[in-house]
Amino acid sequence: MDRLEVIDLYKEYEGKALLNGVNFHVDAGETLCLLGSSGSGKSTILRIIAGIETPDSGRVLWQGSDISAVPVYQRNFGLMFQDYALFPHLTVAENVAFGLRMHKYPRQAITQKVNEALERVNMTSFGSRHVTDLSGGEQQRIALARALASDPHLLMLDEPLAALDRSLRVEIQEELRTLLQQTGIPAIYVTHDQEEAAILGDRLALLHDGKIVQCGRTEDVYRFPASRWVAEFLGMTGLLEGTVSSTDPLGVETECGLLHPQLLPNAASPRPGEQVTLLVKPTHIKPEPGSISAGTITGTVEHARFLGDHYRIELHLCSGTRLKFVSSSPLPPGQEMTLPLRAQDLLLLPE
Amino acid sequence: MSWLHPIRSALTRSGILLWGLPLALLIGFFFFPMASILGVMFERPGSIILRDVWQPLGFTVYQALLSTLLTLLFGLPVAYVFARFDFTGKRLMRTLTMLPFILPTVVTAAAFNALLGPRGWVNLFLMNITGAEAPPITFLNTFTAILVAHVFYNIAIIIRVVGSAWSQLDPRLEQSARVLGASPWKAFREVTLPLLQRPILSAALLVFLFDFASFGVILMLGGPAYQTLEVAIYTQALHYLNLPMAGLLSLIQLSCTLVVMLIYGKVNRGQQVQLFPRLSGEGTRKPRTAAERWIVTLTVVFLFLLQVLPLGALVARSVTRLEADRGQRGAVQTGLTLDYYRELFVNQQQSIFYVPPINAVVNSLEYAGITMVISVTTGTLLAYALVKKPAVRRWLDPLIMLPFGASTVTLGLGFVVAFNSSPLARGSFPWLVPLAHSLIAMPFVLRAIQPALASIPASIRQSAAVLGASPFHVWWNVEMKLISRALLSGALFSFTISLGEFGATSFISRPDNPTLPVAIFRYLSQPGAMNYGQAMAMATILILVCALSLTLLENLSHALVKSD
Repeated sequence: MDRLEVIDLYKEYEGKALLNGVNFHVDAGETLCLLGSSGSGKSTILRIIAGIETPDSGRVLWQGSDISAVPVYQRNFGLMFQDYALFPHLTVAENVAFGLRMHKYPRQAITQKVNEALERVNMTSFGSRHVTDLSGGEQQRIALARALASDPHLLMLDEPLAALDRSLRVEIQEELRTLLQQTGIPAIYVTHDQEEAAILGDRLALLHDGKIVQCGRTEDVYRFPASRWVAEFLGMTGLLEGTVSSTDPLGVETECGLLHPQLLPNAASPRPGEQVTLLVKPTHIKPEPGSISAGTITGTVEHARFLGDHYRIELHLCSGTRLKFVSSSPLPPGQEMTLPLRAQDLLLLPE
Repeated sequence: MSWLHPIRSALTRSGILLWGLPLALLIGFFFFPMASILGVMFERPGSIILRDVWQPLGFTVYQALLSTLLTLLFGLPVAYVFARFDFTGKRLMRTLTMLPFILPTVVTAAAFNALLGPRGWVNLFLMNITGAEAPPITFLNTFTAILVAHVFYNIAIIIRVVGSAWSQLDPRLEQSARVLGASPWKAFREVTLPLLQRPILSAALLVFLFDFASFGVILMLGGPAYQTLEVAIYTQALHYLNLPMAGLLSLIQLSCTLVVMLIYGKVNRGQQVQLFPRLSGEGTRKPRTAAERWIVTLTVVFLFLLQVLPLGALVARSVTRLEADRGQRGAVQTGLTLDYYRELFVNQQQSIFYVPPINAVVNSLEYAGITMVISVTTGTLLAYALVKKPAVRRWLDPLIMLPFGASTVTLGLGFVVAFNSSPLARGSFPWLVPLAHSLIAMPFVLRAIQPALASIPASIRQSAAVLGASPFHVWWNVEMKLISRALLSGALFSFTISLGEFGATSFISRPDNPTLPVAIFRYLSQPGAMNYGQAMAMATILILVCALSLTLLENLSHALVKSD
């Protein structure tokens, strides 16, 4: 079973704890997006898995066995560096062939596999070009082809799109997604861009303060962010502070009135008087018949941006915080409005 | 880093090799000779005359300052033209300006001798038309000759250092100053000049350093009336056999050089400002106005007169018979001849060396080959040691650069003092010359390889390892391939340096085994048209070898720029 497990990684960097007990796993055929702000240690985790760095403590298991003693060049994991790290003295084809040569493939097989790899990234005609003559996007594709050429057990991508401009990034995101699904190689994709993570990841793992603070299917993470930090990191608005006033039914007193939030799955019930954060995610501007009301929230429309087929409304909430939500019709700025909230629109987040 | 473990343990095992070989070379053949000089000074302190210290010291500083100023004066406009204009033959011109810089001083002296010396073209021509008996122009043994030769020699530094900084300077900076209302002069004064301050200063210091340590030029073009410290060391040691005095002069020379080098290091310390890296060639254009065309033409003519003419005169003189040879009477058959080259293979009874002069060519090539091997090997080892252990670099760097600061004459003196009575005595140990050359060349090799090695990003090594390259393959298939050009240019540099080295060699080469520069020097100081002609022939051979190696070096650096 192609399964990578990372167990209790600890790593100090310049006297500070960078990794503080990191645990996660990647299963066969899935792409895990490792998401965290820059400097959070994402790349270090990749480098430990690749064998370039050693953790202070902790283990990396591949197919159930500890690979700490296996040197980097015998692991056959693919790692794509943020700066691509193409060999400037070699041509495109020679770059792609490098790993195959090192793994002692016969010459014919090398030619064939190089062609296959270049085909996969639509760069067949570039074989004899010098890598220094390529554009950023082209270099990115060659780096990917090189990482994939020798059929690695696991592919790791370290912010592979960070150096590209936005339009190219969006284009390549789609290609990458398809490619990762086609090859079926388990992959770890490191990024600090939550949109990219949402597009590419089957699962997300969020790294914060040296720990994985949430790990799960992408939709689940977005639906139930595990903490205020996660919600903010994923770019969510509509966070309200409040005090728990009753537990059955759950009631939280906020500046915008009494609200009845939902608990996260498996979350413990808060005690009365506890300070909590609520996440407001309105989906409708009119009450839905038949849904259980969790309360209402009022605010002033700041502006409505037309985004092609819908409007993004920005609301100034009664508490002074901002709330963005999507609506099919525009709303005039300055208009006071009261939004109905269903139970699933209102989450209680642990601090 | 776990994947580095095999390398690291290999390093600690071979660490002795990594550090040991270069350090042994430095200690045995640099610090020991230097210490020997100190020792000899305190043995017989009585023979030191202070007046003989102040005079050469004063003159050394004076001529170096004046030469530097003149070099700046003539070099800056040329640097400007090279940085801002495109013109036909620019690349050739740029290579040609570099040629004097790597030419042996002996050749420089011979070249000016061939043009303006008593047997030179100009004097022979003037004597021919006026019928005068004596050469009308006295150029040799004048202060002017020293200054001209120094400008000839070092203008390349200004052109290279300032010119490259100038061409890296974004022309839009000056343009935006103009848009903001500055006159061309104001824009130059307020924007360009301040931005070029550091390269100008650092180039000037380098020029000063070279002029300060000038030896061959002073000895051969300045004549007996002018003594720099270097020449004084030479005469005190080899003519008066006053080793304590020579030792003291060496010490003064070394301390002065170190001070200048410290200043140079200070000037160049800190991040060199990367002034908007752009596509090359963006800032240059064809001269448009009449004034610009004039400036470019004048520059080309000036460089031609200063650099091409003397070298051309030398080459032409080596294949032309113009005056009577010794023992010949009456009218001379003037015309083209290959006699001077042919004579190189003949073992003349009355010849100065009692061996065919071509032996000097063979010796030089042999020494240069050995020097190349020693200095590239040790230089690469040191570069590795310095790159892998940056902490050690801070205090080791100046130590390694010391041989660079010590003058070649001092090194030669040290060798004589240290090894004259030892098993390495110059009579019995033929490797002394290439060892001295290796010490002189090693800093250059180090400077070529170290940046190339340091500029390899860690990710390149790591990605090779991730792709399955074992430490050996990372070293062989990636690192060595990436620094191959730097290695090659280090090799060429050391070869060329050894070929032209004169200062140290004049102390330690055996009389019956001269190198090319030593032979040229001796031929030049002998009477007779045949000796003169042979000096010209040998100097021409040196020019050709240097030109060849320079062309290779230029192509290498072009290729380097391209692959960046």
